[in-house]
Amino acid sequence: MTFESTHAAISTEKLLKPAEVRVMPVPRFISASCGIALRIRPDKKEEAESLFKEGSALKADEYAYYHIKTDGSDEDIRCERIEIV
Amino acid sequence: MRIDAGGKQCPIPVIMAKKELEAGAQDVEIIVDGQAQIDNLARLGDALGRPTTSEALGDKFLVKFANGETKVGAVVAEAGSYAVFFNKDSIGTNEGELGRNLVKMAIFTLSEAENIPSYVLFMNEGVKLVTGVEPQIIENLNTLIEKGTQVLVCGTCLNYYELTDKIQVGTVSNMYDILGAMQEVSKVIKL
Repeated sequence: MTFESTHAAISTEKLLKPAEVRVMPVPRFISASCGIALRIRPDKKEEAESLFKEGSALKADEYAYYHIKTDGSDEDIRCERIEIV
Repeated sequence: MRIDAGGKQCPIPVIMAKKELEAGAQDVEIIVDGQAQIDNLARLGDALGRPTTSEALGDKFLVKFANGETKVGAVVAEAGSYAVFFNKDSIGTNEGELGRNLVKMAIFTLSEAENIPSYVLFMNEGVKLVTGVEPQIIENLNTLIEKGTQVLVCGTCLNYYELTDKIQVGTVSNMYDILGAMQEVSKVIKL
């Protein structure tokens, strides 16, 4: 999950802490800007999404949510933007 | 010669032993209180080419250095090797959560890097980072340790902040080892 502002990233990190989200720099293949991204483990996806839906005041254009698949190498990264429904 | 460093805190036993070893003394043995001192002396012994053995001595321990010539002089730095030094629990000095999140991102990024640091060093308030305030930091440092990084944590600082029993990752260390690590690598990055 990436954010329009650093404040949004930090407040969402706090909100999603129970789902054991991890902060990381926004991957280069998503954006070249220096931003905070949150990494959500597949097994915590639903928990994180429901915490976000219940607790976040962010508008749809203030964050982006991606599903990233990789076989472990940098060459084969499939990145798909998804919605929280 | 036997040195009595019972009741002495790190790094005093290391200082006492180092002085004798560098003067070329043989049959050097030193009485210390516990495991942290034994480990520190073992690292000193390895660095100086005088490996140690240890045994219990009543409620204290006796650490013996192997006889032989003491290696003196600087270790040649490996090209591209580096150490990362944290002397705060934050990147930057402003109040708030940004600095802490930057630390988390930095340690995460290091743990994913192809060229991992030889050492990650924690001193002063930096030691708070290895006490589990952020589980992510512990995870990422453990990843680095598995890949071969040495994580050295200033024991004096843990003691000052009363965090000695809270350390969750890394090796309790001293000024000798931390400065030694800095001299061993080709660059030190201070965050």
